[in-house]
This record gives sequence, C-alpha cells and structure tokens, in this order.
Amino acid sequence: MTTTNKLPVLPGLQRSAAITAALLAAAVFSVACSGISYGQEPAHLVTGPGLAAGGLADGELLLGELNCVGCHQAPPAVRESLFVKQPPLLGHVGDRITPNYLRSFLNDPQSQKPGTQMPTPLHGLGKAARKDAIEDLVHYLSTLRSGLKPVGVEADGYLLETGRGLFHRVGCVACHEPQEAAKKGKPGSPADEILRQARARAQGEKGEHPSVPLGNLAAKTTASQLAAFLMDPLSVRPSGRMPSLNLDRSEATALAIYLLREQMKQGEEEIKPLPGLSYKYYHTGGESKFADIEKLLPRKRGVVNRFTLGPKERNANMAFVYTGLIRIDKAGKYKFFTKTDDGSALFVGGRKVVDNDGVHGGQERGGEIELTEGLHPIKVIYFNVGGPYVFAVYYQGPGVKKKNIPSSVLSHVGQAMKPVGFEELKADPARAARGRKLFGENCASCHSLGNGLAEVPAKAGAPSLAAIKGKGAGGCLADKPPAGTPAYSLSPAQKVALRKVVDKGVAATAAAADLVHRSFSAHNCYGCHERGGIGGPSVRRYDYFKPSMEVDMGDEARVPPHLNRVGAKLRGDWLDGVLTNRGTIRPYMATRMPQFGEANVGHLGKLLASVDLGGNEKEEPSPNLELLRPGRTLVGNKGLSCVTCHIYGSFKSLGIPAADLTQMTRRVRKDWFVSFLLDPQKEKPGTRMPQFWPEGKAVRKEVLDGDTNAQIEAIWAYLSKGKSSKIPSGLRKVGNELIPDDEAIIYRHFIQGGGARAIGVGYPEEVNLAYDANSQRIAMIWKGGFIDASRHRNGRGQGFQGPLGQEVLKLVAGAPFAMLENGESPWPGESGKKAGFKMGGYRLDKQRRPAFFYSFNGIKVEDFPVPVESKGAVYLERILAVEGTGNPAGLWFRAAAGNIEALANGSYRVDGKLTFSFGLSPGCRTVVRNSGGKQELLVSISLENGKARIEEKISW
Amino acid sequence: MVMTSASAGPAANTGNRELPMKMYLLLAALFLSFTAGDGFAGDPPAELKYARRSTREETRKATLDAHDVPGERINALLEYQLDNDFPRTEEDKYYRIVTLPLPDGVQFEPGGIEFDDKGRIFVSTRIGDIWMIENALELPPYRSEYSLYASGLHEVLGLARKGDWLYATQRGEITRIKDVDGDDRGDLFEVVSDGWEIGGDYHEYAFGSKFDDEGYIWVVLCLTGSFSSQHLFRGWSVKVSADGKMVPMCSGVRSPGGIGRNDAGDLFYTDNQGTWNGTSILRHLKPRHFMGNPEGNRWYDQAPNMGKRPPNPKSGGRWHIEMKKIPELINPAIFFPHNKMGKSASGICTDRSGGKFGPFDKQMFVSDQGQSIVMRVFLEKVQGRYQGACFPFRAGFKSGNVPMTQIPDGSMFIGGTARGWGARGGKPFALERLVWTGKVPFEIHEMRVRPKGFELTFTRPVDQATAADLASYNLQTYTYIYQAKYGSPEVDRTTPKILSATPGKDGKSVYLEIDGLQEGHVHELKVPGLKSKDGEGLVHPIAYYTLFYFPDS
Repeated sequence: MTTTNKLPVLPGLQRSAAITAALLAAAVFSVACSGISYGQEPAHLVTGPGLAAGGLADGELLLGELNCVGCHQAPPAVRESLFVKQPPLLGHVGDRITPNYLRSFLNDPQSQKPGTQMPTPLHGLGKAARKDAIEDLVHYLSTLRSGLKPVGVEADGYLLETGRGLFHRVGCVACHEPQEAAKKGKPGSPADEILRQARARAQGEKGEHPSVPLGNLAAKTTASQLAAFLMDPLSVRPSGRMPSLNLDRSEATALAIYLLREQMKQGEEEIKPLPGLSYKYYHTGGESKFADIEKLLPRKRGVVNRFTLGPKERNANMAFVYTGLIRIDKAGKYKFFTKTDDGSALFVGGRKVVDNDGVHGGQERGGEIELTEGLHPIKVIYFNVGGPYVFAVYYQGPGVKKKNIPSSVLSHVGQAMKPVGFEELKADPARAARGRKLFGENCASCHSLGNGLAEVPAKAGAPSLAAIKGKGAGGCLADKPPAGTPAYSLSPAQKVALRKVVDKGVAATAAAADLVHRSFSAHNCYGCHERGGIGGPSVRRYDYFKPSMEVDMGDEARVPPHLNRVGAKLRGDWLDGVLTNRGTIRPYMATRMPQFGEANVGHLGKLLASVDLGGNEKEEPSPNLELLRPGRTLVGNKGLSCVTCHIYGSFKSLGIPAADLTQMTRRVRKDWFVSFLLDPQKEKPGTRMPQFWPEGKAVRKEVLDGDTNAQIEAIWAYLSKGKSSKIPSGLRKVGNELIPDDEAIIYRHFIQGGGARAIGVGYPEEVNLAYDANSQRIAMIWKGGFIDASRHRNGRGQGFQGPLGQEVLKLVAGAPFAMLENGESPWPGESGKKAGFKMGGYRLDKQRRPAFFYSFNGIKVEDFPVPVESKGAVYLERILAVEGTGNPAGLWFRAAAGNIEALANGSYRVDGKLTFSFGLSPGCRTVVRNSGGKQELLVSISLENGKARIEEKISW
Repeated sequence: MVMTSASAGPAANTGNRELPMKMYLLLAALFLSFTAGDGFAGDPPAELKYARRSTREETRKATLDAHDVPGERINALLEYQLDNDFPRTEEDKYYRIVTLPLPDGVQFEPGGIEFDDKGRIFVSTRIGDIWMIENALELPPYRSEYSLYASGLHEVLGLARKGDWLYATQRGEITRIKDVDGDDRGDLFEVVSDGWEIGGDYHEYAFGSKFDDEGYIWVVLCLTGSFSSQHLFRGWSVKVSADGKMVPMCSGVRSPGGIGRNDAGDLFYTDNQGTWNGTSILRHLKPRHFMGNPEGNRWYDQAPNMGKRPPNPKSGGRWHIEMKKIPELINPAIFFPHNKMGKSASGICTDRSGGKFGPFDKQMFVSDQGQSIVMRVFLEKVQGRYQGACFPFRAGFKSGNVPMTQIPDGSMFIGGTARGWGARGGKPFALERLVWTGKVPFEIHEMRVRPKGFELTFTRPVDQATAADLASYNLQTYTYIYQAKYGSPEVDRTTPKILSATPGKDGKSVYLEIDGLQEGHVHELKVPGLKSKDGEGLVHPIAYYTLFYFPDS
C-alpha cells in the first residue's frame, strides 16, 4: 500500500503511526467489504468499529472492549480509563433467546454471530463432555425468565417496509452492515463534494470499518423481545455500545420485524383470521380527501376490536384506515353507512360502497352492495381535519337491522412471527443446577444477571492485570489458549496490540485527549462524526445519511456535524443534554443522535471542554442589554434576516429550518459564536451560513455605524433574551388565533356547535359564545381561547371550526321564546323562520360587543350578553329586553332543558354544569316543569307597559 | 417623454428602461441624501394585530408605518413615473394597472368594492373585513390610509351603498351596516334578507350586485359543492329590495364569479366552467328564466312567481337545440373560450363613465380569476336577446381578479385573490386600479352580427387597403357540449368562408360578408393583417362572437 505517502492532510489531522496503521488495517479489511454485496457479516472478532477507524493498535481499547478486567482485576481508576464494556446481562435471557440458538451459539459463537466478542466456552473439554456441559448451560439459561407472558407479533409487510426504512435511515447502519444499497440522494453542492472527497481520502481511499455483527437473529429471538430491546438496549447491554435510537414502540416493532424478516417466510401454516380489525393511524397535514390519507406514513398501527377512534392521539388532523374481514351470515343486499365529521369512505370486497368524502359536519352517507355468505374484506378510511369528530359505521341487510357493525362479525388476517427452528425446551432441574455451577465457573466473571437477581458467584483465580504485566503471550493470548481460559477469535493484529499492552502494562492515568479518543472509539462516535481528522461517515456508508425532509441544505442537512472544537463550541450543560437528554436542534436530519446512557458518556462533556478549551474556560460577560434593539433589527428581515433560515422559538423560519435562534446563547459559547459569525467556513467548512462580516467588515453599515464587534454583541444580546424578547420582524405566527384584546371580536362563519350562520363572539374576559342566527339563540358558550381562524383563512376554507378554549357547553336548542296555550303545552319543535322568527341583526357597543335583536309574533327582543368578572370568576350576564303591544297571554322564555336542580340561593343548576340565576321584571316568574320526559327551566313573561326584562346570569 | 418609435414593442421597451432607471435611481439617491433617511430605523409592527385591534388610529398608524418610509415612497414615485414614461407592454400604453399598497400582514382578499361621495373606497374581504381607504385615488397611491370599518362578517362578496348604509352580501344574508356614532366604524348590522339558506359547504358562495334601477340588489347563489342544491335557492338568483323584500328571479345557476349590470340596467352574471357549462359563460339574468344547470330546479315550488318548473335539459346536446325545447332556457350571451379567454370568469363592470375610461363607453368588462386578466365584452340585442363578442383587454394583474367597480373618475378598482384557486398573477391577493392613460388603443370597437356576416367598427380610422384584403381575416367556429359532465372540449368545428370585406364610408368600420355563420357557435375571428390608418396593428387582433340569434336585417 503506497497511498499513505500521498495521504492528504485535513486541518487538524494528526498523522500518527497509530492512525496510519489503522488506515492500513481498514484498507486491508475493505477487501472483504468493498464488494457490492450487502448483509455480509465480518470474519473476525469485531471490537467496535471505532477501533478500526481510529486505532486498532490501541491495546487499551481492546482491554476495555473485551472486558479483560472482568477476570484480571484492576484498580477502579484503570477500569474507568478503559471504558470497560460489560457483556449482556443475562437475568431474562430465557425470555429473549431461544434454547436452540443458545445451544448453537455456545457451541460455536462465531458460527451464529461472526465477529462476536464472545469467546468459545469450555473449549478444553472433550467433544461429548462439552456437548453435555453446553446442554446443562442451555437448561440453566432457559430458566432465567421474567415470568411475563410472551407477546406474539404479527407478520406485517407494511411494518417490514417501515423497518427497512428505519434501519437504513436513523443510524443503525453507521455501525451495522447495510442490508441493501443506499438510494442515491440529491448531489450536494460543490463544497460538499470537496469535503466528502477529502474525508474519503483521509479515511483511506476505500476506508471502511467492519460492521458490528447482527448474527442469526431470526433463530435467536422474537419480534416483541427484539422490539423491547431496541427501545431500551441499555437494560441488557449497559455499556452503551448498542445505544438507544429513541425509537417509539411502533418504530421498534417495525425495526424488529425487519430484522427478523426471515421469520416471515415460514408460510406453511394456514393464515387464520384473528379477532378485531387491523388499523393504521395517521397524523395528517390537514388532508381533506380520503384518497390522500394512505399516501401518508402511518404514525402507528395495531388491532382494535371494532370501528373506534380509541387509539387516536389527537382530535384534529388525524386519520384512520381500518382493514379486516366482515362475516356475512346471510346472502343478500347489504347497506353500509358512515356518519362522520369530517370525511370517510367504506369499501367492501375492493368496491367503494360509501363515499362520504370531504370536510363536513356529522354527515351520513350510505351505499349498497350484494354480498354472499362468508367473509368479505372491508376497509374504512376516516379523517378529521379539525373541529369536532364524529365516527360511526353502520350496516343493515337481511336479518340485520341498521346498527353499528359489531365486533362479533369483524376479524382480520394475521400470522404470528416465530423464531426459526424454535423448539420448546422443558428445563430439567438437575441439568439447570449443573448449568448454574458451570455458569459460575466459566461465565460469571463477565456476565451478570442484573434485573435485581442474586448474582451467581464467579470463580476467582485469574491473576490481576498488574500480575500479568510482561506475560503478553500467555494465558488467553497464547497461540493456543489453555483449557479454562476463554478462547477469543482475535485477528493477528488484535492479538499483537493486546500482547503489547499487557507486556507494557496499563498506565494508571491517561491524558484527557486520549480518553476522548478512547470514548469516541468505544462508542463509535466516529461512525457519524469527524473529529481530529478521524471518522465521519465512511465512503460506503455516506449515502445512507439522509435528510428527513425536503430541505435545500445539501450535506449539512444529512451528515452529522464534525466535532472538532465541540467542547469550545457547545456549553457544557447543552453538550450533556445532547449526550443524555435526547435533545435535537436539527429537525431536518434523519439520522438520530443515539443515547449511550449517562453512566457511559456522562463524562464526555467535561472531557471535551477540558481538551478543547485547553483549561481556558472564561466567564462570559453579561450581554449588553442596551444593544437589544439593533440586535433585533439585525436578526429580523430588515437586517441580516437570520429568520430567513433559522427557526425562532415556535416560529418557523421563512425558509429552511436551521437551528433555533432562541436557543443559540444557551447552546453555544460566546467566543465560538463570535468566531463563527466572523468566518463561518472556518468553524464549519461547507456550511450554508453566509458570511456577513467579510474580512471583519460589516455588510449592513447602517446599524451601529457598521461596527462589527458591536453588531455581533447586539445579536448576542438580543438572542440572549431568548423567547422572552420581542420577536424579530418578518416572522409569521403559526395558526391564526383570534385574540380579543380590549374589544370583543366577532367571527361569523361555519362554527361547529353554532351552525352555518354562527356569529362567534370572543370577549376580552376570555368568555366566548356562538350565536346561531338561524334560531336566534346562544348556541354555545366556552372559556379560554376564542377561535383559530386558520381553517377558514387557508385554502378554500372548508368545514366547520370548533371553539379553541375549554369548558365548552351547549345551551338548549330550539326557539328561545314561544307562545304556549297553557303551562303544560310542549315547547314547539320549530325554530327560526319556520317558527315565525325574523333575525334583525345586532348593534355593537363601544367595546364592540353585540346586542342581538329579532322579532316574532309582533314581539321584539334584544338579547345582550356581556361577560362580568366577579371575585376572580367570569360569568355571562345576558339581558333580554322584550317589547310588544299589550300583554300577550302565554309568552314564555326557555332558559334550559335537562336535569334541573333548584338551589337554595334561588338559582338553578342544569345537568350539574351550568348555573342560571335570574332578575326579572315585575310579573315574570321562573318555572321548572317536566315536559316530554325532561325538565325545562322556563320564564313566564308578563309585559308591563309593553315591556319585560330578563336578566339571566349564566355561570359554568 | 414620448416614445420615439410607435412600433416599439414590449422587448424594445424593456431595453429602453435601463438607462432612465439608472438616472431615476441617481435622482432618488440624491433626494434621499437630503432627507433624514434612516430607512432601517423604523420599528416595523411586530405582530399582526389588524384582526383584533381595529381602532382607526392603530390601523392608520400601522399603514403609515409600513408605507411612509422615505425610501419606499421615493421608490414608489419613481417606479410610477418610470412606468408612465416607459410602458412595459403595449397594453400599458393605454391602460395602466396601479397597485395599491396594503397594510402589512393583513389578509386582504377583496370580495366587494364600493365607494362613497367623499372619495373613500370600501373593500370587503373574504375573511370578513370591510376596509375603508382614504387617499386611495392619489397617484401613485402610497399615502392610502386604511381603517377597519367592520369585521367578522361571513365572506362578503358584494358591497353596495345607499345613503348612510353599506349593504354587504354575506354567505347567509344581505346585511346593511351603518356608522351610528360617527367614529368611522360600522356599529349597526341589520339583516336585510336571509331568504336563502346555507349548510356549511364552502362552495355556497353568494355574490351580490349594486342596486339596480328599481332599487334591488341581485344575488347569485352557488350550488352546494358547485354540483348540487342541498339548501334553499342554491343555484338561483334572487333580488332583494333595500327594505328586505326578496324575489326569486332565475334558476339554473352553477358557480358564479361575479354579477353586474349593463348600461341598460339589465343584470348579468358569470358562471364558471363545470357541469352544464362547457366553458365559462356570461349570462343575462332574464327574469323567470332558467340559466342552464338543472340541479337547483327542485326549489320551483318555493318560488311560485317563477311559474312552472322547466323540464330538465338533455345531457350531451347543444344549447341552441335545448333552447328550442325549453323556452325558459336562456342563451349564453358570451362563451369565454376556456384558456383562450380566461378560465374562471368573475367580476363584471360596465363602463358608464361617458368616456372617462376611454373609447369603450357602455361596454362591459369582465375579470378572470385564474388568468389575472380583464376581458372586454360588447353586447347587442338581437331578436330581443343579448349576445355579442368578447376581446382580450388587459393582462398582468398581480393576483386572481374577482370584484371590479368603476368609480366616478372612470377608473376601475379590481380586487384579486388566489386563495383556494391559484392565479397567474402570483400574489396571494391584491388591490389594483385600472386607469386609462388618455391614449386611444387601436382595437375592434364593436362586432355586430348581420344576416350574412359581421360588421366591425374600430376605435381609430383603418387603412382601407388592409381592411379590404381578405387575407387580413381568419374565421373559425366551434361550440361546446351542453352536458351534465364537467366542462367540454371545443366541438363542431367549422370554417366559414369570408366572401368579401367592405370598408365603411366612415373610415372606421368594415363589413365582412360570410357564408356559413353557425347558430350556437363561438365565431373566433382573427384579424392579423389589418392596420390602422397610421400603420399600427390592432393591440388585440382577435374577437370571439357567440352567435345564437340572427337579425332580420
């Protein structure tokens, strides 16, 4: 290999002998990996890909990775400096791993998981004795169970595809072997290309690190166990070499199904209908046609026993697709109906039977289909864009009255996944007991049980690390390890490195920079991030790094940032947060920042700071708050327009979603910020961040006289106020909430609960109402936020919008007044125009509060609702002024209907929620009566000089 | 400044703009250096409070904040002068589009436009505001002041004024609004009529006219979802008197885009391509007539004054054939050939300024939402029915044109919105004004049908030689299928023969004798060769005559 002579030097790249060796090793390894086949497992023991990339010759790293100190005791300081990798906890191994896999694996670990660090156990025994001993171990390990009932996971082609995507997109392939070729992304910019080529050359022209093996997973475990592991790998592998990728349950299940896809091939068994319907649940972007729903990526899926919205996570912008079978007991014509708000569609046997599409209120649509006896595929798509949601699915047919489709006739096709070659093992207590003993003697030095179980005592006896100094070629490192010692499948280079470090002895302390490098190697930070010329996505894995959204940021949107000087860039607590708190500032990047566990990487923040700041951590001066105003100008669209690209708190940027500005000063250190603003390319080669002070000279001369330092100070000061500062100019608020400030706001539109001719009124007291101009009544009252107008002010503005606030209550429907023959006459069913009412309109007072007026039967009514604040609470006071000629007999007002309770103070409680109290003009009186099976709260009205007045207080 | 060459086309204009632009900018820089020009010191309004803060002072101030920046004002002035001296297009020479500045952050989607005798312009918007604009008539209009006269209304697509009352056609009713306490904000909202119904479908639009000569506002009511009639009088036109009396007038409406009168006081509306409309159509709202879409005819029993429900037309036929079977079926006065003449005809405005808007007195102007244009319509009454020709008139508006209103100085205010339906102009909304520059374009002025041909008149004297040359003309005809399906291709294509072209003695007309005029067809006449006496070609050498009736003589 002669290319090393021509190796280009990246800034900061240390061409140490170790790195050269590593690159050589990587190049050699790449012979095995450079082909275009994917899914191949490595040939030798793999000790963390970072080692190959960074320094295979570093014996200390191997000491940690192989947990040598598990047998060869070492002082705590030494142990810490080695970042010891603790092997898997076996407390519940019987749940996780099948007996057949355990047997094959113990017999020959490399055959089941090529590259595994697990040594070949009991290699000193004779063939038959060894087989027997392994069987004892299998019996023992199989008894290590949680006692929880195993959960089957259904084979599912859809989840398989989701899992395939996740595996290749969220970061798995930074360490593991890609299973298929990456789709080529959009080419990056020329700058991206230069960087990429430079990195490729630095890594060695075909530089590659070995993949961490997955092994014969399909035989090893079940989908539910694997999913549980993927969600929390640290509970089994506490040392963080397998980090968490923040997968939620559905993602983990999908990924598990993908990794165990061989288990789906066992198709001999008959596929059986299982009870319930299979569903997919979506969060939509306001899709308003059912045909658009299935184009989206479901948020989750599962099984429900009937058509229900049970699994929904929110009420607006959501959708379901249900699929399954419906059992028809009698052939004939069947009618299906959906009653939905908003749209839906129902298919039977692939034919669309009900089309209830679009955005609308609770609307019922039906359709008919001829069906034979037996099972028929059924599919229902439902979505709600906003406002209230209604969802019901009915059918009727021969012998079936129209009703909700019951769970008893619903089923879906399913097939549980099962480990390949699975055979139940009935543990033999005698064997298990022998196995436990063998475990103590051979395994317990490395493997703990964890899970709160009593640990099996390990056989002591191996010499301490200090004691084997100078004996590098002996024991387990001998060419042929003696019986009783573990036999690792070390490559020659690995063996050389280990012997070297054993001969030399391990230093009691290590330099901080070395520790950073060791930790980066052990946790394979280098798989994604470049630091000191090492690492970053390798040539072959580069194209697996993708942006998560369509965003014009080139490689910056997909390749994780370099970490040169990261300790000088990020504040310690922010860095800690990134390492242990699942935070992300880059929503556009598909690759996720893994979580390695605080115990494993909690030290890194401080280490990085000490290395990168060189001990020069200065206290930052307080921001100069006199510069807030020019700072705001510079950040806004009349200045440097940072908001064009950067998110600002809850505000989207005007373009790409670059890092949130309100987090900036909490995130980065000021010195770095200044340096970055002055020359972005220096700190972050290839960044899209423009240089606003070329050669230190301000572009915008009109702000602060073009003083570069003052301008940067001003931006820093303004950003330091975070979300508490006035937003920069140029931003648009998300949503369109109408906020009554010091005047009432009227909003006439399609309001859910108020009808198509609703007059919404929001009052500054945070009490709101919807008046129905069709039936002259206050239809709905609520507290808190008034209404979000965005539905009606975007696109064509379809559909009904519900209230924004809470404590939403509907008042009695129907006409507000009626002429009754006598006190027992039922309240008329008709209202509005049909009942002779004529809407007159409204007049606004100085606070723009409407007083509605209307007439009927020669009587004029003015209805003036006003919120009143009293003792910290707000109630609605409504004054109804009634005017007529003479005193018509039998004039009544209906305040409420429902369950009415007369309270001691003279007020009335309705349905336990609303309280009414009245002030009435002389001759009027309240009456509670039973009518038509319910109670009504009425006011009998008597006009005096042609007038009556009802003061109604409504509190809730 | 004067154009040096009369034949300079748009390309030449663009080239000529560069030098003066630099000159103007130099002047501007000079001017700015003498003003207290800190263009960035202004603290722009941070949050968009128009919707909720509506006091006059605040909105006025906000508008000034946005537009009274010295740099912007000078820029506006310069741009305006530059456009005046160096028109960008041929159309610009004769009719200028003046774009009004709008208050920052306001969703200003005009639905109706009206003016009062104090020179104030009122604009209702789709989100339910009514804005009052002062100083809107200044040119350029950078000092316009906006204040919110009313808000919270339901998509107002029609504004009319009578005395102190502003009549707003909302989706569900006509409301009249008055400023009782004199603070320039409406505070009394009275229902004039709610005699039709809505169900909550966004397509259930209601477009209202100005008052007609008998004191009625006419309303055209879109079908539910533009396909069916789920609520009372969806798909109808009704008229409402100032005191609230409502009379159903016409059935058969599909999806209107605007309503307006002609000079004689008859009401017309535009109906968009869709079911039973092969292309966008201008129709006379002839009382007791059926406009052509049968979906709303279920309401005849609610409209006894309308007489018997007409039979449903046969889908897949032709209008002129169905009209003979259904006497109530009105002829399309104008077919606007789809994509050639707009694609979504909307607002209607008749030039009644007596010449202040140029040579097209009493002609009708129809805006188009999708193509951001205004078209010109000449109508004549033949056999007692309206029909006529449409011509391209003005392109280049900033958004999707909908309402159009002429103000007393003859200019027309035009509002644009592209929400829900995209528009070529590109902006989400706009308020613009179309102003005649005083120059007379060379255009076909009128196109009348004769028993055996067409008579064209022109706005300027024509060159006799090219007018008499048959090669100057090219005539084709086609029509559309009258069907329940959405839209229609151009069908039944013919090429009539122009037998002779005889220039008139007045020097401004020509008679084309034609063999093969087609009943029920669009007659697409191209006039590429014709020149004016001073050698100019027509600004728009094309006309589309919709022929249903032949004159006796």
